[in-house]
Amino acid sequence: MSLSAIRTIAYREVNDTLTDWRILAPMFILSFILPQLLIAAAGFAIDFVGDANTIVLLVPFAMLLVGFIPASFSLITALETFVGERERNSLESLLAMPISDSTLYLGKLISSLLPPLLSSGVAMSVFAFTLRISRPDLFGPGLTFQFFIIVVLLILAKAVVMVAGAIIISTHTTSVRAANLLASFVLLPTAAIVQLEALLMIGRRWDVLLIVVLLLSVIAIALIRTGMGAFNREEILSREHEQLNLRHVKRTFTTFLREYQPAGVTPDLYSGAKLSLSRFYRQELPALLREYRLPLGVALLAALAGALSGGYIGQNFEVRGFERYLSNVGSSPAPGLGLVAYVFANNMRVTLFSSIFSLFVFGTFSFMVPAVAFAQVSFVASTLASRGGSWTALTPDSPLTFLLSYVVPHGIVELPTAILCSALGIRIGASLMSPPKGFTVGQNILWSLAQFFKVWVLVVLPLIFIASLIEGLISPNIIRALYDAR
Amino acid sequence: MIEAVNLHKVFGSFQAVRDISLSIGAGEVVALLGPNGAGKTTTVRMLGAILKPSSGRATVAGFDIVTHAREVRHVVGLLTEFPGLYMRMRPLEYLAFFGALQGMNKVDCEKRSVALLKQFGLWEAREKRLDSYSKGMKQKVALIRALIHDPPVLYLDEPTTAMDPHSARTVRDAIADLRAARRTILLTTHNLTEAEVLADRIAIVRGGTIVAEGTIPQLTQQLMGTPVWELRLATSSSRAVPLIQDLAPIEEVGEDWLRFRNEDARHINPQIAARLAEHDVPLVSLAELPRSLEDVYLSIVSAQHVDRGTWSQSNGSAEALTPAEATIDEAESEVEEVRG
Repeated sequence: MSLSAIRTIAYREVNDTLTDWRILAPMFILSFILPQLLIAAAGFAIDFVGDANTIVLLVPFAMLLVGFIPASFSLITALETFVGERERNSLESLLAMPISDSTLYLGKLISSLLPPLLSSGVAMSVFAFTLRISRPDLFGPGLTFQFFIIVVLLILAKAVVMVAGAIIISTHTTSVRAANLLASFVLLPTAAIVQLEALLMIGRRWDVLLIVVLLLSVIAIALIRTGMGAFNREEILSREHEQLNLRHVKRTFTTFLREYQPAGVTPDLYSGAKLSLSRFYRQELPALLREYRLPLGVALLAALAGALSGGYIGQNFEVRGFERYLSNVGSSPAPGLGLVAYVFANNMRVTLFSSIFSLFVFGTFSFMVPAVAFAQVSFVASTLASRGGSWTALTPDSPLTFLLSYVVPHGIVELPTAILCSALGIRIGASLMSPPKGFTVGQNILWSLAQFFKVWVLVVLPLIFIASLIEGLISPNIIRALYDAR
Repeated sequence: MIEAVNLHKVFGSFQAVRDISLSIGAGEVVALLGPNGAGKTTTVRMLGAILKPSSGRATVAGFDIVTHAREVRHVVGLLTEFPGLYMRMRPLEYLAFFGALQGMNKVDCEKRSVALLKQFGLWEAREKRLDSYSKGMKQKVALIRALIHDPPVLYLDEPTTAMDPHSARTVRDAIADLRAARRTILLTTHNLTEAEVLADRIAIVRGGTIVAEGTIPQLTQQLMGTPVWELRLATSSSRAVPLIQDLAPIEEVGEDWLRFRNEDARHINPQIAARLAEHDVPLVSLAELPRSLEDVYLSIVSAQHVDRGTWSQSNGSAEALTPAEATIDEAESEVEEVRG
């Protein structure tokens, strides 16, 4: 990696951006005019609401907006980094230079970040300065040094996440239009994070905001690593030859479905053997699980994180939204095949859609399934414990009773199945980002989808059916026995 | 200078290049000639170490294109099909950018940029932004970009595509100058005149493979068979036919002319002239019919829908084209299948 080449690439791009009035004009407006508008709006809001204290709570969020909107420009510049150059036919001459792929990637990353962050920094400074001069009543209580640092860190982390995600999109698309359409996969989660940050700012939860900064930093590092791993000349130029050939897609998918070979083995190297159930259960499934060690580890981590956070929340917070879980403890629907069918259909829907849609959100949905499931269980258990329930007695308020009746009977089968399915979905989500050597991104997606469908039909569905039978026919009786008997 | 052996390149299910072998000596200019989608650009990208071959190997100036990709990119200057300039820059800034990426120091890069801009007649326009340049000027800037680090090897990919005749002439003259300066040049084009004028050797690519290779006379001989000679007489051609048909196979006969194939003109033509003189048949002229590269090229390209027998018969040289023809048919059918 050459630092001087990174600087050369970044300098050229930044120079190009900062001499283009079409970019400069909106950046100027966002840096100098938007802060004034928000401060004026704050004054108007105080007059309208008649309570300055409420508006003070919104000052940090206003500053976050002031900083975030110019920073979001980085998404636009990053999205068109490679695909834009390809459309302008300037990419090939750049790829012909004696520089490494990482150098090119980092040069582009830095150049996409610098101008929007500069604009963001100016905007926040203008906001803070103007607020101090014109509304000292809001500045003092609204903006503290601690808050200022956290907002800067939040914006920086989000900008890096957006740029790293956008560059991955830019290297995997063939037109700026397609890249812009795919930008929603970056924008929507970012918008959700901004909403979460707004709530936390109004609640003045700086500790949780710091955790958000840390999480965003982890995501940013993961995306940069993924981007660097997936970025190469081969992938970028190969896109020119990609054509959607449904027959070929079907043939490749069927090849991957019939026979298991590790990821990276191209379809032409498959033996052409037909799908065999005995071979699948005896040889292919164990080999597949070995290959899925990393996603299985990530799914286990999700379950553990869910369990810990559910336990923490249950012990330390009163969450009104979760009260219904607690109020339902002790009651149970009548056992029967209708309940079995309902539970089975629900689990089938969750395992199928969370995995398929994980493709579009880098595995997030699949990561969430075990996290949420374990969080719910540990939340109820820890809340019961914090309200005086004993971990050793089989009383109605005991977390032990809850676990033995509501979780263990079917959970012994259902929870490991959820983790397995989550791993399959996480692998689908990761397939878009870093194809193993020998595979294109398309082959990688088809391979992970084929493994998912095979395992889902032959392993997951039978297991969740067994779990549903237990949950629909046995668990209600255990619940009645343990709760109604008392 | 360039040695390629059995290069293959597959993109997913699409085989862009199959089994290309090529050897280009120092100072030689070779043109890769072929229709759009023949695999010329992919071959150039592999030889420029931008793409890795799926199989096969190649060296450029002694460097392996896979294991020493960076060195290869350093010894190669690439002129892409489209200039692809950064339009908001001025030429000196633009060249400084690429010079820096090639590892040149600022002073050397500036000196060379100035010299090249003067050489290519762009010095007067150095203060203008590149977006105000004409097509020919832009292509010249792209050519200077390829030359900025003084590479011993140049790849020129479709250098005059979509240019007006004047601009194309300007760029062609520039390439001729480079040829005179003994650079090793690989030129890809579907412009026959360009190939004919600029190249020492020509390799015709179709369906991702080289179907014919050699100098223009060699290709003509190889692909169009024995040269055809035309005899013009001051009398009816019917008097001459019986006199020469045992010396050379007659192809066509007109009122006062006839054409025959003649592999050994030095020996056969004097005999024909002597027989005609002996029988008082007045001879006006005896000359070889010119056969252009276009005839050779079209004979290959139009062969795709003609069955093997017809093709061979109409061109008189079955053995020269048998392997190529087989490969073309195979390639065509596979490409058709892939495109479904």
